[in-house]
Amino acid sequence: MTILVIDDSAAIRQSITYILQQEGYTTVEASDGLEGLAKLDGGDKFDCIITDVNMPNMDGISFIRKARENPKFKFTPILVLTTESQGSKMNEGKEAGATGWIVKPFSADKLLAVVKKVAE
Amino acid sequence: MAERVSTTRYLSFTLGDEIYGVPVERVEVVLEMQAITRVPNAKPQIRGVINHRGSVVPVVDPRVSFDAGLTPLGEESSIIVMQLIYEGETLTAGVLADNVSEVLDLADAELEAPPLVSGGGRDSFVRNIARQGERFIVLLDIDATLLAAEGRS
Amino acid sequence: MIDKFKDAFREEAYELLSQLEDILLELEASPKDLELINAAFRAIHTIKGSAGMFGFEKPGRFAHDLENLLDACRAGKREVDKTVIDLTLRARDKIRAMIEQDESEGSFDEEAQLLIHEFRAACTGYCEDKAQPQATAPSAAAQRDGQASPSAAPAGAGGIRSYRIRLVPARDIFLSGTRPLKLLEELAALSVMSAVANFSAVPSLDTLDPEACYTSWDAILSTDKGIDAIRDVFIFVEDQCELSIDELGEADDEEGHTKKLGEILLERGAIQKPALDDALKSQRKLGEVLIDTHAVSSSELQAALAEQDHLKRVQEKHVDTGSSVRVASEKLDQLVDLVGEMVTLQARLSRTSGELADTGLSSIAEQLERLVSQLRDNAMSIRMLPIGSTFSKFRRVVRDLSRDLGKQVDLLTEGEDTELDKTVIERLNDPLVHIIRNSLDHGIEQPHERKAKGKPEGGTICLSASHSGATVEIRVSDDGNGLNLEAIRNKARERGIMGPNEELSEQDTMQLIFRPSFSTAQNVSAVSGRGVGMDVVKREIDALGGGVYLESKPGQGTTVVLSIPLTLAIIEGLLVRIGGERFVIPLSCVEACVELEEQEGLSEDGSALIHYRGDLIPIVDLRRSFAVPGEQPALRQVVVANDQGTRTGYVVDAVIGDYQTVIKPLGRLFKEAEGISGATILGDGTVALIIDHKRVSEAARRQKGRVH
Repeated sequence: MTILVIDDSAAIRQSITYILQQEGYTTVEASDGLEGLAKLDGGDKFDCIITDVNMPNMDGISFIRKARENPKFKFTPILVLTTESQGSKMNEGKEAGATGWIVKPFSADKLLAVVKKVAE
Repeated sequence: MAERVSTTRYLSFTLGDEIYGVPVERVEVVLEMQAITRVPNAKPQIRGVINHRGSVVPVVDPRVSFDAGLTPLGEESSIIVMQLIYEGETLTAGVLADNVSEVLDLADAELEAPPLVSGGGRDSFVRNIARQGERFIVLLDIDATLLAAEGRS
Repeated sequence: MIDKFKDAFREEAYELLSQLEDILLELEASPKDLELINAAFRAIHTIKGSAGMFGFEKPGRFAHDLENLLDACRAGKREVDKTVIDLTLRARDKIRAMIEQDESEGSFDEEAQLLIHEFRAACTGYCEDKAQPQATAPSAAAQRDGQASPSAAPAGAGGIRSYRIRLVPARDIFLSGTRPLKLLEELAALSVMSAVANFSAVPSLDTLDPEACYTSWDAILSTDKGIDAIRDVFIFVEDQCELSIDELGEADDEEGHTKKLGEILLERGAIQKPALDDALKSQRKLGEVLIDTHAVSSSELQAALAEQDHLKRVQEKHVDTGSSVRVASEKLDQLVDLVGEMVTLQARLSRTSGELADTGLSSIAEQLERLVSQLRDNAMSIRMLPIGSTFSKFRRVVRDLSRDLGKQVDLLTEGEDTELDKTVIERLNDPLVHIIRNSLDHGIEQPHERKAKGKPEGGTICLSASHSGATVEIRVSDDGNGLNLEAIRNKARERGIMGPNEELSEQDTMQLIFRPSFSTAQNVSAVSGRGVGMDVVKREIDALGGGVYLESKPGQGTTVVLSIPLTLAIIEGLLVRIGGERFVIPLSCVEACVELEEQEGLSEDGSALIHYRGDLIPIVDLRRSFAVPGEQPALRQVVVANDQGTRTGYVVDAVIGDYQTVIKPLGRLFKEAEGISGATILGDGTVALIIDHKRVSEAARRQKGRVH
């Protein structure tokens, strides 16, 4: 299982990567939506994508819309990282084609549970 | 008085020209000849194993113990399934016989000691001789047939 | 969340905060620049979002009100004026101070409170506070709270309740990366579930859109986890599905009454009372009548039948829960013996029916075969026990012995739940005690030695069990000194086990300690670090049909690996023929069957090497090792067996096929029958012998060693 992790915060990216790798997942990191799209075009196969919403250059919602246009990732589970205060973002994300969301702050268990829920 | 005369019942069988006897109380059943599965590298007097009521039972060829070659297996041949004592514990085994004859009641008093002219071969397995009219019945130390080859080899 | 990332967060926050400072100064010059406003918002948002993840709950909470203010500016609801820039700059400094001083939680100081007050004031009239997300967020948690059904039993109340769940996913659900089957799997994981898929909406192939979901599901779930747990499963798809979750009446009807099909259909709203009553008047089965009269669609009926069946099952299960019976173990042994008999007899029946070519008889034989194999699995499973019960005994052994030896040793155990045949577990006890004692006595060093080597003073022995195919692997590892291979080799040369110039591989050298001549000498332990009674261990494990292997790293410890068959009574075997005799090779070790090519002629003593998958493997001519009489056929086969990575080929005349082998012991009389581990009764009532694969392959390797 390979998971693409997109977040502009290196700390968040690294901790997500760390948690996932502990569980045996392979991870690829990107720091914003544009870089994320580049990774999708890079020929890698991703079993799941986790993306933050607010990011410079390209935000998470636009990223999801673009990703869904790529036939290779039409059905790939995509999880959105949101904060509690961003209820509207969940809706926006779902409309753009997100599979589910993870609310920050989250624990390692919560992250893994959600990834397991939509992917694998 | 009847109780003075102590008798033991023996099952008699033949191997070649000789009549042998084993105590009936040791005998479980007499089987017709059947396919014996040879067990490689086993003791020479163990001809193999058979399926007896779902258990795998070894078959002993006393002729091999007596150093008198292999018992030829024919239609008349039988396997006497009985209790043998080996290394202090009983085990069920089949004993090959050319022909199983009858059950004899022999008075203990009638039994004679084996001849002293022991020259190896069969003689070391003879426990007693019983005389009945013209014929002699050799009462075997049947447990020893299991050990013989070990001493020799 | 994870302390090791705390510093990463701190560094990142400082960077963001200094960026924010630059942005704010630029904003002061061009307050209408939306890009700048966005960037400022993002900086605060990122800090707020991640602060909580790394234990900085307090600065996160503080940033929240600031974020609201910037959000209002971003949305154009409020102008960026001096107040905003001033406030943000002050807040920035405050956040930095909180992070620097590691203020992770607690109440705000006066300055912070004042700032929050000012944010709010600056916001008034421009932005709604999003601090109460419950009011607006369509989160499942919020919806759930609103709908919480009063009947939903709290989890832990012990009550198992049944729910009727209907899931009709939106046609385009796949396009959001959702897999409805995963949802069902998740539901099933909650407890007992029966689901029926409804395909009635699937169109004909020419109009079918392969990317659309046409299937819907009806499920019945019985769980003690409560309705919230069920809703949680659907948390991401609530708005993309037609979803209904209805609680059914008590699942545990004490009367043992199960609902009638009609009742269920009525409850599901699939049929109206009058139509049902009409149908019930007929003397035929209700389901058939309803379908014939089109009163109910077949998918509705399927779902209702599944529900009925499910409720019945749950009820039965409920009655059974926790009840168990103690049975004398001899009775179990008898049962397994009888099942063994039956397997044999059934094989005979199958054979006979095959010969008679009678279809009626064949079908009975086939049914019986299925039944017997179920019965066999069942009987076997009754004899399976978790190995944990033995493990606990070893705690005492370790405790007592380590005290006597003046060592500190901890015993760790893993895989206590691993199940093994009862008899196997009993027979493992002594060998394991031996191995553990050895590890304690000779493996683990005295505390002062350990300290000198930079190891913790206390040693650890780890006892673990795990399944690996048809075998269970039991590992006893210590973190002691490891085996001294050189000492073992010297000892072997001294004793004439090894020639003075002979070299042995590591594994072969380690195997030497299982030799009886090696183990009996008391002083060996002082030299080799191990060795008392290992031959006993090896013998016992061999008798169980298992294997013993060693792994050792100098200075780091030794691991003894026992590989044990799951059961002693019945194995899968490969039946082969040599001359007129038949033998069984345990299937668990068989890797392949290949033809023996003519040029691969055997040497005088029947041994040779053949090429197999790039490997040169020794082959054993079983005809020769077992002195089978008769003519050797021109074409023969090689059964390639694999024992822990070591391959051996067995040359046989022909491979007959798989065979369910009920193992019968040969008994004491056959101690010298090397290469034979037992016997089995074939379908025709005759006896076939089981090849002792480990012994034969070891012998072959020894021979190979001599040849070279």
